Amino acid sequence: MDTAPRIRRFGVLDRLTHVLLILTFMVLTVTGTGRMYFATDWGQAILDLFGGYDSATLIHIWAGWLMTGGFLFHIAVVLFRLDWRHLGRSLFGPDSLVPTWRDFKEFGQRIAWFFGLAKLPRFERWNYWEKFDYWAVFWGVPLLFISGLMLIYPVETSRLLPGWVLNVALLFHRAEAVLAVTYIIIVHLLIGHFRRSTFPLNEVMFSGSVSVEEAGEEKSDWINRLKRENRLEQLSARAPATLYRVLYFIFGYAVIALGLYLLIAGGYYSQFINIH
Amino acid sequence: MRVAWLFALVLLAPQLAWAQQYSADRYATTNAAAGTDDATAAVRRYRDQLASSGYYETSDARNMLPYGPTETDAYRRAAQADAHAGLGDYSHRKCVACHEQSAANLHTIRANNTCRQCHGPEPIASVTHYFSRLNPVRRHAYVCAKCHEGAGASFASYVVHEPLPSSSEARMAFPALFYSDRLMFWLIVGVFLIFIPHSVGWWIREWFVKKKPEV
Repeated sequence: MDTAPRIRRFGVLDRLTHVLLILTFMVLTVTGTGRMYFATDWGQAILDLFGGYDSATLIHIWAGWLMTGGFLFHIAVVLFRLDWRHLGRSLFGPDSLVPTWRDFKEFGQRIAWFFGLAKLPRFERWNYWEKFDYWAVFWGVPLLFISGLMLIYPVETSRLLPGWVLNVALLFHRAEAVLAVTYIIIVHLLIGHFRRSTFPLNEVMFSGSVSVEEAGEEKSDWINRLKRENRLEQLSARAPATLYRVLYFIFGYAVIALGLYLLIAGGYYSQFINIH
Repeated sequence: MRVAWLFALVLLAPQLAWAQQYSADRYATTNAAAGTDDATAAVRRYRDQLASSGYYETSDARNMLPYGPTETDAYRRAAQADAHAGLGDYSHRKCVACHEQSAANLHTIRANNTCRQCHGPEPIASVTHYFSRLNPVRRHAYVCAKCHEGAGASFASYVVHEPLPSSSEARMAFPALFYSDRLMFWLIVGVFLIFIPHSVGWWIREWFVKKKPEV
């Protein structure tokens, strides 16, 4: 077993929330794809897996509720974790996911690095890319939840708002879902896992920890800060068990394969959709 | 050859001439038999010939300006009690033979509805016509509520035959949909315009790193 010193990046609660997010996201993606491609054989085949259009819709709705529940749970956890006495430092400090000016500078520096014009940015605990991924959920889930809720209860919605709002809600629901799914597959899955430094799998969200050496390469400012504050020991973690690693490798690759399949088949079959 | 033309004219001419009167008569007899015919001639003229804004009696016909022979015909049909009156070979055709794109909506494709389930049996009045079951004054009760229990007039403003959201037609007829579509389109394009080159650049660049950055 690997005995190199490791550092904890994600606690059990966050990892479980993330697994719940993966599961609900994939169920919603597959049932939603089946519904969107209803007019094609491929869409029908997907819906048949869930017992047809009606039961796929029901599963889609319940998975949506579950995802919203997980989202609200996460917000509650974040509110609980916030240091309310030192709110400014807690919100805009280096341990926070709130975007700061530094993120824009690092983004520019990274672009310059592509062309060899600058050194790689010395990232803190969260880099701009991770922050964008995190906040994308914050606009995606509420938008999908509210528009989805309107479409589940159209008659009730039409009492509060004009009925044509349902057309707009469906458009937003579909467009945001397409954006989220394609972004997650292309950027989050492929670039997250298949870069040179992360291949074959970026394990940190499952194992929760990363070797100090690896963290020092990716997030040197964070490690330097921890060393300076003598907190490196506090955050030390054990390496994940082999059986657990096997499990999350299988899980991770299953999700990536499913995502790739949906992306390619969805792109191909999109020419046969004629609904508006 | 001339005989054939004459024959065609004889076949077509009476049909075109009588059709309008025919459908109006049909309604007149039905209404008279039911004893619901209005006493005032003005209202009857209105009912037979004009499109309704949905608020009949108070405000009425839309100001329809035809731009050419095709539009004239379409506008005239939009005001008829029998929208298909006088169309040749009408009874042998399917709705989608002419209204091809109208079947590409969620009610038809997903809920497997037929045209007649909403538009009703012959004669099919124009949607805005006083007689039509799809007239906004009664659409929610006569059509929507058959499946969507509790549907009100607001619910009935859901656009079943939605224009393509990115089309100029949508921009004119349904601006909220058009601009929502533009917003989401540019959001998607913007996100990928930043993150695809970023990801590809990152992916390629990492292969050229020889040294590890200093800690």
